[in-house]
Amino acid sequence: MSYTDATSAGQISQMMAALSDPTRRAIVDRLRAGPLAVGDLACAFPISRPAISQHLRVLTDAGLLVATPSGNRRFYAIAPEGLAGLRLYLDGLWSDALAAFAAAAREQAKRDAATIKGDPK
Amino acid sequence: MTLAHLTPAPGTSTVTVPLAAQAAFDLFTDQINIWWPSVPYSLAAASGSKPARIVIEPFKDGLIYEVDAVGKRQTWGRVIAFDAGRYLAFTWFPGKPEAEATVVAIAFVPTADGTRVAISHGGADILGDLADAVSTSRLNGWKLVLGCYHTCAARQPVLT
Repeated sequence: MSYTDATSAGQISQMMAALSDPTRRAIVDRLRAGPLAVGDLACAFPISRPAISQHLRVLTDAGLLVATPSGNRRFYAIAPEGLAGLRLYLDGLWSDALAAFAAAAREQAKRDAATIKGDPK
Repeated sequence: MTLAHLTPAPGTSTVTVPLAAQAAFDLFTDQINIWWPSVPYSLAAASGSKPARIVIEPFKDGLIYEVDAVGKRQTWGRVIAFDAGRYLAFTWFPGKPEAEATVVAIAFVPTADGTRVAISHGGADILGDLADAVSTSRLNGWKLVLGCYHTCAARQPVLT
């Protein structure tokens, strides 16, 4: 995994771009309580239904939401795997960085100890 | 991928190192080139190369960037707080527009045998009181999105 990992960077970028919009973040937040149909979401936001649909499309394309048809309605729900991917990407990066930092710190402590021991002063 | 990978405290990693807090802080910032895993974690790594060096400008609003062999800079983030020996926070957007930044905060806490270094990442909420000092309107959403992940994942195993 890297900043630009071929398999995931595109999707991570797409998720971040999707979530850089405050309305879309609010939609995701709203869906934390459970799946909703487009109509329910449109009632909750002061924007048109087509605008809501457009936001839902962006979020779904990014892998953050899943749409499930039920009768003649489509319900939108948070896609757990999508957010987990984003989370793991960030966790992986900082865990790796911290491990490398700790190794360097131990090396430095060893060198410091050797200097003190070897110093005749 | 399961939820087990995400527990416990999501978004926080901690390690204790055998250095005084100031030395640990200096190693983390001023001497980042000694230890940062530039492969794979750099923009140069994408083209099979590695950066000539990485710089953390040691003051609030300072930039964090990598410099390639011909001196070209690519920004990784911007310093929010630089409290030498104690605390470092920055926005993080390598290869992305600043509008898509997440936030990273690192505390250096003295312990009996060294320093505990705790990294948090996520939205502006991880900054606590400091958040007021930052332009966070674009970042607040990360709290909803990442911080509350467990709740939404647990509640909705998708309609079937």
